[in-house]
Amino acid sequence: MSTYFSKQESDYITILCGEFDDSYSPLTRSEFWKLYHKYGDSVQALVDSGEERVEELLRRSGSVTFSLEKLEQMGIRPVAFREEGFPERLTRLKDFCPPLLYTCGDTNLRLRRHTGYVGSRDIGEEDIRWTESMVRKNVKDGFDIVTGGARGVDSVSLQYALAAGGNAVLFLPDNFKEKLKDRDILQGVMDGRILLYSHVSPFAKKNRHSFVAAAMERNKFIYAQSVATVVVRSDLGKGGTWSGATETLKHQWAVVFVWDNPAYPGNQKLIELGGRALSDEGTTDSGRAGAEQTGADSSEAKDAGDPPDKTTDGVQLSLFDMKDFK
Amino acid sequence: MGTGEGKMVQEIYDKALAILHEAYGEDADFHPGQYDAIEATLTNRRTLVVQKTGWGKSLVYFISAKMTKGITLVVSPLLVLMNNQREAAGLMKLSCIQLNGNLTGEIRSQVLKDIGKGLYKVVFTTPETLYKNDVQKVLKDVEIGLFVVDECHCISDWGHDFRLEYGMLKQVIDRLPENVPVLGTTATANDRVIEDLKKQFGENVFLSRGPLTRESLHIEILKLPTRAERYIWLKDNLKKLPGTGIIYCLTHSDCANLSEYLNAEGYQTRPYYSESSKDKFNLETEKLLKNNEVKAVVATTKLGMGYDKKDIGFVVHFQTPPSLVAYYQQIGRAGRADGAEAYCYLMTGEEDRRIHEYFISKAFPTEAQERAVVDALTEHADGLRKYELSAYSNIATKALDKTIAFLLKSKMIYFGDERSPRLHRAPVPYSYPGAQYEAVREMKTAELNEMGQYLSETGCLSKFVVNSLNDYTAKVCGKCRNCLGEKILATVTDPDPAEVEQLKMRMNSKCIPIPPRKKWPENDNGFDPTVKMQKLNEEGIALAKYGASGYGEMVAFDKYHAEDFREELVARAAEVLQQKLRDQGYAAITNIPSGRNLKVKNFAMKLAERTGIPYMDLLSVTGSGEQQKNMQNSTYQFRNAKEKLKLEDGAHVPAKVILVDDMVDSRWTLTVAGRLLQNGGAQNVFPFCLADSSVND
Repeated sequence: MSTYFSKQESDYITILCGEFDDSYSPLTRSEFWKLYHKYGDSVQALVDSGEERVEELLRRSGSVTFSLEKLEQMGIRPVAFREEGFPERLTRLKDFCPPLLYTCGDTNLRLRRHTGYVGSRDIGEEDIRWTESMVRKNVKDGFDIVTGGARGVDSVSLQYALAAGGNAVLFLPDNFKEKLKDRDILQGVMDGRILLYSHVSPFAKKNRHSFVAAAMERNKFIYAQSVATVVVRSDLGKGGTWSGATETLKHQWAVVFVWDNPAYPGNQKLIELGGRALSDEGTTDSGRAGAEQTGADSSEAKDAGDPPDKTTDGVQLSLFDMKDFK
Repeated sequence: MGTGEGKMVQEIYDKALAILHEAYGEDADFHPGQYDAIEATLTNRRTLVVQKTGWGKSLVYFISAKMTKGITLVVSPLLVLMNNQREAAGLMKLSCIQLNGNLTGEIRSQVLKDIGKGLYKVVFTTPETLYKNDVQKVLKDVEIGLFVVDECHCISDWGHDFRLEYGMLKQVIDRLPENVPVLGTTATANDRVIEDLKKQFGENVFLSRGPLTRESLHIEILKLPTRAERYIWLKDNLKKLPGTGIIYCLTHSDCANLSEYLNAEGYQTRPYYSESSKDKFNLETEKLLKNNEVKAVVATTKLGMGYDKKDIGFVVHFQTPPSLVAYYQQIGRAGRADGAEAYCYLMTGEEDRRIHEYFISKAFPTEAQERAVVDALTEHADGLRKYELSAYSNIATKALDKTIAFLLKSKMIYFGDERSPRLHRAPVPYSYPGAQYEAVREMKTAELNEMGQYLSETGCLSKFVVNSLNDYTAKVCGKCRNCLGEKILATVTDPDPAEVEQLKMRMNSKCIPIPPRKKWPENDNGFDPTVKMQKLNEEGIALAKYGASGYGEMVAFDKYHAEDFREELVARAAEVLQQKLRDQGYAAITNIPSGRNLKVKNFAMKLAERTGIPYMDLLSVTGSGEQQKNMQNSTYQFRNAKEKLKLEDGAHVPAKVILVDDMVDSRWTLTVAGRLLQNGGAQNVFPFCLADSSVND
């Protein structure tokens, strides 16, 4: 387990990578990793390097304080990739991991086990029902959910998770000051039930182009944070859900479950590409990709009194089998 | 310490000395401790300097400024840069600028632009100004090489001067990255304050701490319980005190009244206290004091900070300050220039304890007040403006301001960046910091008690004060009243009892004006808050402050413990009214009706008999509505008055009417009643009340 940064090191990451309401241009994710690796993965070495971009940004060490003050008043703080409060699981993304996130809420929630939920913004009644039943099962099994903050699958999963008594981590693609003006989100955060992260600074200027890019970017965070992620509904060959799922399958960042709904060609294709099919009841067919464990004692996360589902041939089927997923 | 470090330190020393020599000549040398503080600032990053006034704290940051890149930002409560600072900066060729609330308009924009362009090396700012949007904007893009907090004891909850803007600075210091040096300076900090400051500055802060004894002060304590006695003492003795000086009072009204009295007795004095309209006036006062064009400035603690005039000959405390730390800082203003002796008189008054206890009780918002604001903002998650908050919560404006300030400080709420900023609920769980507030209240009470001990001290007064600041190096001074065994100034006389009695009588007979309300608090059926009222009440009169000795006490007693208001009050009222309204044609006396009893009506009727002006029943009360005194802010008081009062059916209202009530507080009842009478045909409504029970300090 790698140790946390010192306060000074975390401060440096904030100074170099944070976007604030000044006229400095922070390092982008790829700029940062390139430089960081160049200087032997040492923050101090990077800071002492004399690199032009670094020198320039260090000039704002003092002035950045006031922006941070403003953020903190709103209950938001920046957190560096090796600082306590950063979702550690994202480091598996290696150079796709954001060096800095902005967060709001009780960061201890990140330490629980999460099921990710992703899917279209435009969904129908059936999608809602299916998502609801999956989420309820997850919460009963002791999982929290992780999702984006979009309408459609994201917000449905959030709604049902909270209703079932679970918590949620949200990775937002944009300025989440606005999100906090939603009474339910505000209350959820205050109650310690919702944790917000974004790689987009609350000071960032909004525009359509950057929003789409940010939405794509954050999908991988959802997968990385999760023990496994459920794709409820994806378009075929296009859209945020498609690109997030295919990217994850390619890099093998997380287990991807896909609703085996014959009406959704996007879902079907994802299953072909390696996604694990989930039936309408939320069971994984033992004959398909990745046979799951059998045995009644397989799931620590299950409630004691909850009988495992069984198929007629006696193989235990459950939505998630703990041993497979780290 | 390795040779590398040793070399660096040597370089720092050489450079610092060179700067000193260049400014002050080859023979100049650092005062004890000054260089260490400079070196610490430049190497240790967090430095705390606790040294008495005159030690030379500004030299430390000026030299450090020259040795760091970027600008040096100095947060200080001063409005005007002191001469010695200006001088020092000039000698070291440091371009300085002062930012405060008096800098406005074109000049302000230009100054800010210039700061952005790097034309100034040292920027002084008050904490309030630091947080203004335009200043914040400029600072974002400026490299801050050194951050200095002057009078940094204000940051501490335990510091006697607890200003909320300084509280925000606390966070800034905590948040500044370690690679930005931070220097805090103060002359007034005891162990507890220093411990608290260390939390902000970090445990390995470099602490420079020196002896606090001010050699040139002569201290005496005077026991003069009544204001009248103290007024007479000052009238007789102010002219015998050397040079110019400061007289400290606890309340705004004391400052204003005392200054007025002394000026009437032939002295040149100016009051000095904080009020939004007074910045320009205060600035002028500072200049007058600087140029010795006044004998004394009569001030609240506002004129405590860093004021550095070389020849303050005396400091008189008209009332006892709330703590020895505050006292030390205030007497520290005196006797500056080398060898100049100064005289410090501390008066204790009978009203002191009550005033302090009032301040302590009002220091923090109550749980109900905080929750009301928090709940209102949670309910309206997209934010509320301050006046909207006022409408949603029954909290007095001043208390609302205080509640908002404390909630901002504890980060339960924040200001959004809308064009017209709204308050928002921060997404953190709320709980009332009752224990914290209580701890500070207890501490303040303990300090009051310690002050009480000082008042009855029989040993050396100077030593007692300095010891209370945890400086145990102090020796017996040999020049205070107790050390000398006699008056510190032989020519000073005690007040003459006959004069005191006379003055007491005069003070009691002073009436209190009732200025008319000019704007409605909210829009409701013909009451439009954006428009000044067309017809106002006349400026009325109250006999006295409720509870004040003399008539005020009589009213307080009779209101709750007598059948009716006594004849003496009726007589006095008649006298005052006849004097004020002689020959003006007031044709009727009427009163604010009460559903509860007839005391006010009876009083009004007796008044009518005495003055010969007929009594008329013009108003009636509907019986609904709560007691007006339970309504806490304008909106609520106004609504309550509106509900209760009606014009009497069939009333014939004459053109000029005297409107009587027993007490006046918010003036909304009088305003609504006045409006009703005007609707009924009155042209002039003159309010008369027995007592003014409003509170303002």
